[in-house]
Amino acid sequence: MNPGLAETADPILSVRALRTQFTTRDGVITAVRDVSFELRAKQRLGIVGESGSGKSALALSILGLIEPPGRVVSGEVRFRGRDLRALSERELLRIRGNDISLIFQDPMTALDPIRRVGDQLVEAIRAHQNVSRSHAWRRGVELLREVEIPFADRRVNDYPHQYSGGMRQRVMIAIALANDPDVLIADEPTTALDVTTQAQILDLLERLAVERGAAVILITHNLGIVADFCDSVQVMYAGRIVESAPLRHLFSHPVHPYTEALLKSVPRMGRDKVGPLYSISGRPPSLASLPRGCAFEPRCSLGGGRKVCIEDAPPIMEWHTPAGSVMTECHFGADRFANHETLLERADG
Amino acid sequence: MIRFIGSRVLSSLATVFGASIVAFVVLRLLPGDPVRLIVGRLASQQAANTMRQVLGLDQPVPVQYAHYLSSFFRGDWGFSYTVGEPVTTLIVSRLPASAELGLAAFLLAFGGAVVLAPLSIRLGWVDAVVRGLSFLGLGVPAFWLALLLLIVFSQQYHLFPGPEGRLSPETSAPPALTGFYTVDALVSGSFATLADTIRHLILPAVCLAFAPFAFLVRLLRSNLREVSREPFMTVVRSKGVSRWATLVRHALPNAFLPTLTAAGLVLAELLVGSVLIETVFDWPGVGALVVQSIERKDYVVVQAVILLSAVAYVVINLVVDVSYGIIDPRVRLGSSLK
Amino acid sequence: MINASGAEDRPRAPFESLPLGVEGLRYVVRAGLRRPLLTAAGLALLLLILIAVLGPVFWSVSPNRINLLAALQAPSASHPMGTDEFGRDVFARFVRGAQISLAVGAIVIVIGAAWGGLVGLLAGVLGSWRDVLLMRTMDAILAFPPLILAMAVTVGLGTGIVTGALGITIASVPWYARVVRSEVVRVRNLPFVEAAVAAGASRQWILRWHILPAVLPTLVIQAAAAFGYSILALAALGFVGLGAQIPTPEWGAMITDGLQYTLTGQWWIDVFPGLGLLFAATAANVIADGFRDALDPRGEYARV
Repeated sequence: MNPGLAETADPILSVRALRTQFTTRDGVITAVRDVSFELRAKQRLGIVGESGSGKSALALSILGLIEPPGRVVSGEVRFRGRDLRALSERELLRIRGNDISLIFQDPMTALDPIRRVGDQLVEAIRAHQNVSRSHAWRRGVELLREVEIPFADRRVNDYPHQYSGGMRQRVMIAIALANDPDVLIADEPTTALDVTTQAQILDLLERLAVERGAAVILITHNLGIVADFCDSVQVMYAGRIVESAPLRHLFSHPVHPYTEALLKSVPRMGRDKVGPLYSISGRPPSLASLPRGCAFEPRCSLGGGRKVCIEDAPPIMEWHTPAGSVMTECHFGADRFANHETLLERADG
Repeated sequence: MIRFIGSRVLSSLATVFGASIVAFVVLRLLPGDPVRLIVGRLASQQAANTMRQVLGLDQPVPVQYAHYLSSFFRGDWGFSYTVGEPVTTLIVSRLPASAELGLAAFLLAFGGAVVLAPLSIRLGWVDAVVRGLSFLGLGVPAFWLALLLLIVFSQQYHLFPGPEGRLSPETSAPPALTGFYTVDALVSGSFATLADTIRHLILPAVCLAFAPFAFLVRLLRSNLREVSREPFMTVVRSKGVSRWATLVRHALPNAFLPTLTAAGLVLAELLVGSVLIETVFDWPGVGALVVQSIERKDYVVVQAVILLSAVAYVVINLVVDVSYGIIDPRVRLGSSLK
Repeated sequence: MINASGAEDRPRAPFESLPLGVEGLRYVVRAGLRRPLLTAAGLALLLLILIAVLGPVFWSVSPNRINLLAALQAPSASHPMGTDEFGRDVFARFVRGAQISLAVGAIVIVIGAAWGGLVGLLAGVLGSWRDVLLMRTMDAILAFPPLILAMAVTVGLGTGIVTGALGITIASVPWYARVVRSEVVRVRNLPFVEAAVAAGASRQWILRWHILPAVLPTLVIQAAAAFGYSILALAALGFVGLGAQIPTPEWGAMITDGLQYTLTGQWWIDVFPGLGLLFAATAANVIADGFRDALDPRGEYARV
């Protein structure tokens, strides 16, 4: 896999100015604020952000799965050129689970507890393939084997509560891949699992994605996973994408102060210095009452209180590098991009 | 699994014993001297004493209780002096009438709930209608509704028969097999009788079903709502399954389980006979029997019916509980992580 | 984690669910204004209460005055609800019936809730064998169909409204006990109660600040829901002749009185008391529902 493809091919998925709101008794929460990005075929995109940054809402919005009191208010989601938002529910049904699949966060609650695992696989298959039940059943067993469930032919008859968390996540992956989708959106697929299982699941996901040539959007708050898996990364904060870059570039030349702070927060082994761990001060803003200017301003390391940061929304800037395009939203983006002093301290420095 | 069933059976037994004590206590409060009621005021003291001995009322209270309990479970429920039959025979002869009515009402109530609850989730107007019906169902006095329906549908429009019991006077009962006229008529092939039976069943069953329907539909609707909020529902939809199919294939079965327990309670209450409806429609069931027995001061019958209904309730509850354990795979199979 | 409707699942502390005092009142009123059905029900019940309380003040006809010459008259200006077979004014009887039903209903739920709540509280707090004993007793009472139990009580202790009310109350106690006990047990097992105990909080403190605030709304909701049922149960007892006795104009008894006349065309004797019952019980149920919605700790989804 080339880390960071040059943008030659047309994007398979293109999101433009997507805005999703939830009306609760605390007010209107804009979870996804005019988000735009592109995904190319076979690309592995990571979306990184804290809880409450709107990442899950973004995933659901793409597939039109937002339920009241939430609503996708505006924007475009183009899959192979067709705007998914303009499609009827019936047409969308053909896309979900077939062209675009979703892998959910919590495997413990993601499966119907009173149906056998096999039945749930069969449901995924027969939603899009006109095959007999027995054929679908056999295909289900094959899928379980592909996700490395031992004794698949027997375990297919089991119920979800008879599976461990890691195994249930594998089932979820099997369900998502049942119809060979072109895009796989994995929403925190390993967050609920222990570290060893995490690694296994990610390896599995990588292998299967490569085998089937699917593009993957990996949503997570764990930068370590991103470094391992993705070729480009987007950082979300308070419902917006504040930085987007090829993997290496993000890790070595973070432009947005938030990205920089995130990277600094990751404890590194082997440092000479001993001291308190770095953490970003303050808390993410309430999505119900967002400031007029930059949402990150109260916590920004560039020195808070700058008038332009408080009053004006930061402009979007984009640069093209050989590795891929870099985008950020910061009033001081240009300076920071050009300024090599934003280079992170190396482990040896 | 065995342990599950075992513990349920044990607790049911405990409840039955508790209920028998309650029934015994309540009935010791009965007015008047039961002996005098039987032998009459003018009988001699000697006759009264003899009767007292016969009835076992001269024994100490705990002995009386033990005797009461043991004879109940032996099937000896006493003798009704006003009717002239053993109470057991009396009750058993009237049980099918109540059970048939109760079952019919249950099917209407439960069936109605199962059909209307999912529809009310998806269609706004159905939801409004169902909500309205459910408030009415729990607020309308059943006996008054029965009267209204009789006036309108029987008297005014002659669509249904009046309060004449299970069959028209000129129709004779089908050959007794189960005591359920519908089943017996069907089995013996007399479709005219079947039709007559059903015509007589409709109004009382509807009246009886209204309140349970209201209760069940609200419960099912609320359970459906809750289940719909579960993460796995979104997962199913992400597979490309339609909203309706998701609701029926996944939400409904999951919402069913907690509703099943309540439905069992409802069934238990309905089977035992409704005092009010049976009175209005002149239905020859156990409920009407209770009212008549109270009027005739035939307390032996009342005593037996009370305990019987409690036992029936506990037994049905037990069956429902155990069924739940069998149906829910999480209980049935336990969690056996491999 | 956000689920599809955007709400975050997090454990809620029990006192978050009940805003006490003035704030709570304002909150309930606001919630009520958003729901026209609820307001309608509230007004209907209020109207009935007003009729019951102010009726005799403005309508001086006695409910028991017999006037055979004016028997079985249809509703008119002088008799808005007609007269019954003894010439008694049905409206006056209706008003008295309203007084009886509403008052008895209120008393029954208050006493039932008090007793049932106490039993449930004791069972939940004391635990072990006391819990088992108390709840088994409740189960035993629950095993009886409530109406039949109430009938048995009236048979045993004598017919009449008081014994009827007593029977209904006894039958209702287990419901409160169950619901309160499960709340108590739920709160008791919340992690932060454990933490409070570890921090040295006394039993009384936990009771007052954690358990009671969770139990009270549950009790109120249950009582409100039982009000409608109690009214109907009393009427049922009156209907079979075990509750109110002649000549008491209790609504259920009135329906029995008018039975034979209704079927021959004099509908007003039965219809009006029935309507009274219908409105009272339905309004009570709607209001009880409203209570449940307002006090429901998990009700964080907007009514859009």
